[in-house]
Amino acid sequence: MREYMITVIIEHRKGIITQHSIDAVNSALYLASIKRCSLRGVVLSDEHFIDEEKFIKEFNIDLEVLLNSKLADYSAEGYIEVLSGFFRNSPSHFIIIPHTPQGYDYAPGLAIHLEIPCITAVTGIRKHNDNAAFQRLYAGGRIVSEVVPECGKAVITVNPSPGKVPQIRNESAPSISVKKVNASLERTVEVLLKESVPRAGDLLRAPVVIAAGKGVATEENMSLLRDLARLFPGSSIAGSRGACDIGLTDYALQVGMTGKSISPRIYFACGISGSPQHMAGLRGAGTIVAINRDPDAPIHRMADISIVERIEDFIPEFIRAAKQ
Amino acid sequence: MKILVCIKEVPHSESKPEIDFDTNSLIYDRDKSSFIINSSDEYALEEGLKLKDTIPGTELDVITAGTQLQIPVIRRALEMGADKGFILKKEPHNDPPASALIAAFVKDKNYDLILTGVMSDDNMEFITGPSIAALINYPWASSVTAMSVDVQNNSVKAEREIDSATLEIVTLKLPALITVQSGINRPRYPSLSNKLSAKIKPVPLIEIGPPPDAICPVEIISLHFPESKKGAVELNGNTGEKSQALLAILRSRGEI
Repeated sequence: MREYMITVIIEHRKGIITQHSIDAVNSALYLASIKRCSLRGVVLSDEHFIDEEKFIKEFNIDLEVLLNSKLADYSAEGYIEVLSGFFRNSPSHFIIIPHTPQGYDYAPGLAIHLEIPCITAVTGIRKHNDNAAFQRLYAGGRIVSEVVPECGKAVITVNPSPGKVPQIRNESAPSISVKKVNASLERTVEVLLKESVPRAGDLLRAPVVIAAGKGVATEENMSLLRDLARLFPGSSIAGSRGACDIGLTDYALQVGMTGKSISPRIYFACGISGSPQHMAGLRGAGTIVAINRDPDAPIHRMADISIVERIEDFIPEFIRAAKQ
Repeated sequence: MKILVCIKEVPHSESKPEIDFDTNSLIYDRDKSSFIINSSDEYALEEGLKLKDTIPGTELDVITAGTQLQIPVIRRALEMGADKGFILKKEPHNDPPASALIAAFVKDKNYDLILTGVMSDDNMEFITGPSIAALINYPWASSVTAMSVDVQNNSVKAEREIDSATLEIVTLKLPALITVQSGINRPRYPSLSNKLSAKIKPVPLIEIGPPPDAICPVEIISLHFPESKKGAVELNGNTGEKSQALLAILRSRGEI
């Protein structure tokens, strides 16, 4: 059996590869270029993986498809059972998993079963001597750390990379292997998927989005954001998870990893700290305007236009100026 | 039913960490920063307390890893209605991770349900809950936004957000572990009677030996503050001048 240093687990919905998986493959390709080693993709599914020809064409890496009828829908138990068995027979130094509600659900457990460390929510990969250093954020994005697993092995969950990843190709022709695997799933009684009500059509299409964070704090400030939105035809209000949690905006308007991914021309981040979970929903955004009274808020380092001001001071003043 | 809620003390989100470049670690000035229960852990605690309110005979314990410094967050959880609180002795920044200590603690305790937050606000790792479950061989579901316990069938049904358009509803046999997403409920304020009874409850500091199989450590090679985006501008001046500057940029692009 061929030995692989790096394996990337491909997330899909009924055979359709998710955008996060494509990002994860790109991160894995980049890591492979640093480590100068081979790379493979692994897919778990209940039927023949329908996207594999497209996959091979797009990424040009080897692919292993693991099939079992109990893998129709994701479950931590099923993925851990199948993947820990798979990696015990066919080890990999680095296992790259998209940092999604699915990925971070099973990655730590897989690492425990394989007795290797788990490094989550990685935002960047850098060459460090002959090794790779993984970047991740602390304290809501206020601090960047770079970590190296001492044994050169780890399960890694990757956030979508904010920058462009160099396209690196494997030299050899890719191979596909499809095999049936065992999955008992003794304690997962049932898994159902349900469509949540998408009520944010306007948010997804809006050219300008005015987004509230926890820092907006009050209903009075929220109405200032609505006044600001009226200056931009077709604009929409949105909120960070923190803003939704305190009732400033509806969860249907939440932007971020567990909310919507949007790509407006202009994004006003009002009272938003700029956590990586929030920024994950803004990959396609054009100009980010940050309005936050805290000069140290991470959002000021990710914004194109940074304004250190209180919401209640700046927005009325800006609206007055715009109306003159 | 026996429930354990795992909580962590975190600095308030507006507290600013300093970097100790000698040890590559983060330091919070305890005099200048306030410390609270990690937000999603507080939602997990409320979810547990709701079960305690509705299922007769339910006992609910809270646990954290740390030192005497963490007594206030355990005390707060007792005030909210937890029956017993424990601290597992752990020095900051040192291995083993909290998940290994908690797993060692719960092994012979027969908890039916373990609840914790989806991630800690300071380290943002999403790692402790699933790691505990994997170590003690409980099934788990993370990032849960609604849950219910079926006592007769000895199971828990949990709703998870998969993405903005999809919910996953997973039913697990008990015992199980659930990590809770923020916003799932409204955490209660302590009642006066709970406040009084919490005052006299002991908070034992428990020493757990090193876990049997330590895994390879992850070395922090650097810590730094993030760099600004290339080409970013910071608007200066008073509020009026900043407004005019933003207006000029947006007008030049025909946005306003």
